[in-house]
Amino acid sequence: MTGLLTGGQSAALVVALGAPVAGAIAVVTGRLSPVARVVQASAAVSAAAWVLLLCTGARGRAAVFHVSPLVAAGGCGVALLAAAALDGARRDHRAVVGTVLALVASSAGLAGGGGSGQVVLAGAVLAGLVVATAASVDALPPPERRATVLFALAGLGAAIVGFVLLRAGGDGWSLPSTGTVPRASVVAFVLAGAALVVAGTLTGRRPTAVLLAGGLVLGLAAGPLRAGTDDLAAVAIGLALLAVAAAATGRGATALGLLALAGGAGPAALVPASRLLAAGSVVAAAVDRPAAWLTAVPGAVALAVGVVDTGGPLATGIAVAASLVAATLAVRATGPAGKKDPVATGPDRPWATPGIAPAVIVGAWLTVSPGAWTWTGASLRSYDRGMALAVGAGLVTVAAALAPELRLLTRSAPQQAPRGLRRVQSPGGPPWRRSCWRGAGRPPSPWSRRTSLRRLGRRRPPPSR
Amino acid sequence: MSLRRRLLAAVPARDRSAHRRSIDRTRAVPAGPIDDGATALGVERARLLCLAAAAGVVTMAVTSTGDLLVVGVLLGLVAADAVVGAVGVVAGMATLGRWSSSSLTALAGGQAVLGAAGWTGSVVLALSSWAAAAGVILVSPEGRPAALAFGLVAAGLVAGPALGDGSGSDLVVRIVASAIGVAGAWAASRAVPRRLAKVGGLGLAVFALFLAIAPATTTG
Repeated sequence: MTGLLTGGQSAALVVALGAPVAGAIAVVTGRLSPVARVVQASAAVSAAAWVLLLCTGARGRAAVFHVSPLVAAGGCGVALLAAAALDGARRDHRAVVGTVLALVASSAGLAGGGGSGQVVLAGAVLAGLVVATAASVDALPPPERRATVLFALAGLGAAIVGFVLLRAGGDGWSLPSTGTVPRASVVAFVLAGAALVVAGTLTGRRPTAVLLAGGLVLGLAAGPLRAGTDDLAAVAIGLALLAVAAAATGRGATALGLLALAGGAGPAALVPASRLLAAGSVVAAAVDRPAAWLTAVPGAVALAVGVVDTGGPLATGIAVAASLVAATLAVRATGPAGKKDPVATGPDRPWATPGIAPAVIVGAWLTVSPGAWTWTGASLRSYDRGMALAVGAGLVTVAAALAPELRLLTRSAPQQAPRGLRRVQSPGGPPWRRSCWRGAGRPPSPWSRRTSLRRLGRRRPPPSR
Repeated sequence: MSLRRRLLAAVPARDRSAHRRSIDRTRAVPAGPIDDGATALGVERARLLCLAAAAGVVTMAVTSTGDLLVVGVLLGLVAADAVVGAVGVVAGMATLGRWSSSSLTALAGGQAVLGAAGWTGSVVLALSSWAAAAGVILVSPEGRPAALAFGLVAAGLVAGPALGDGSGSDLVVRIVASAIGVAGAWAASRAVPRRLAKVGGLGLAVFALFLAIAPATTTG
């Protein structure tokens, strides 16, 4: 039984659900331009509101909507993925409409189906996911549509089967947070989550990416219900193997999502790690660069600690799969260019891209201070302290290295100009530009006046005094 | 521009042809000029990243604060090499397997109470610590910041007791171990061929992990 949200939390929930609706209205009326930026702004506002709900530990209801930490995290993930999707390669009107509809439906579905505490209600979640799937798949280009539709339909079908089995077991149409739940029903929900994860990450940053967050919420709400038993051992091992296969093909976000679901279906000690991995998966899908795979480090650390705590063959198997995933992704991220992630097509400067910047901020927070993510249940105090020290020391070192007067501290840095650069001393301008490297040594432009004169065999005219 | 391409541009000109040949075989870098202004700026940024990571590792190792697995990842960033990162993480997992905690604070505290990891406990576990430290030292890349980072981490794995109780002997042990570790990392980075160092380091780290978890497996 949960109570009502406080006034501030209710306001945050209104903003979280209302911002996407405002974006949709702007798209429909066409009043604000460019509409893609409006939708991105609304998604960013929604994500911020969900983060606020997460930080305040919101757990309760307001009107017909409910909030729990998992729902708030899912809503934040949906908003981040929707904002990033509109910075993808193809951004036409259909993609904008599909993204905003998927955002509205997913957010409302998750909040409407959140139920009391961790309970997941059938109707709202399914309706939200169906609308999100229809809207986002329609926005995909035809060549990418078939496989995504296949996995999305499989996920929705498995979710419906899960709810039907739940109903047949006498638990009504809602997935409780605790208690005995039929094994077949939980298996169906976890498999539905896996299929939606694959559908959401199959095509990189597209409107269908919102399905990733929906699938993770569904799988992580159901999997831990059987955590005390080994009933889901086969499912967990299967998902872990699928994660290894996804990593081998360079699909980092897919691998992390499947690994999160495997951890959620594994022993109870791995559940916090699975939540952290799920968050890392969402950020990796939104940023869509191999560097974003580093957001899986907190989850991996929590997984290792959990495996040592619990032991057993299932936990060890998941840990081995996680090690393989990490090794494969690391090799692909630093290996030859031709073998890199085929779907990692994000921009070179994601922090400077409006739609991806919120995901970068969340990813940096997750990587540097995962202990602040108390909703995951992970205890990473030493990680937080060490990372804070490391980041501070790194920043000080970079500042020292960038200061010309302190270059003696970094002897390994080149004392002479790097190839292709020359030192420029200019007394004016801001302090950091008074002594800097500037490009030089490039071949002269064929269109320059000097080159033209040389071609014509003329001498350069003397400078006028 | 990839980190690999940036670091290739950082190779001295006399060594560049050999590096280019070895890397071209894997088609990592398309043929063509690489020494333009943007590349040089990328090199500077990559060096700064490696330097910042080294500073972070040194700070964590000196203060015995943080997580060993994170230190392993940062060591990979210092060297800009996935294999080196794997060696660091596996060495951290070996320590986790022995001490049941990946916290550097717990590791240092345990060594302060029970004695240095390199000569305390069963022979197998002590050997595990030595193998992990040797693996970390072996994969140290060239450069004084890297040698400092790798050497301090390796010293902490073998003899890194916490200094909280003000014990003079612990301080001496730690200083001597750190000096030996840094000197060893510096020497290994210059004396051992890179490919051999990475293979050997990975083998030692995996051996350390096996030794660390074998007693638990046999007794449990």
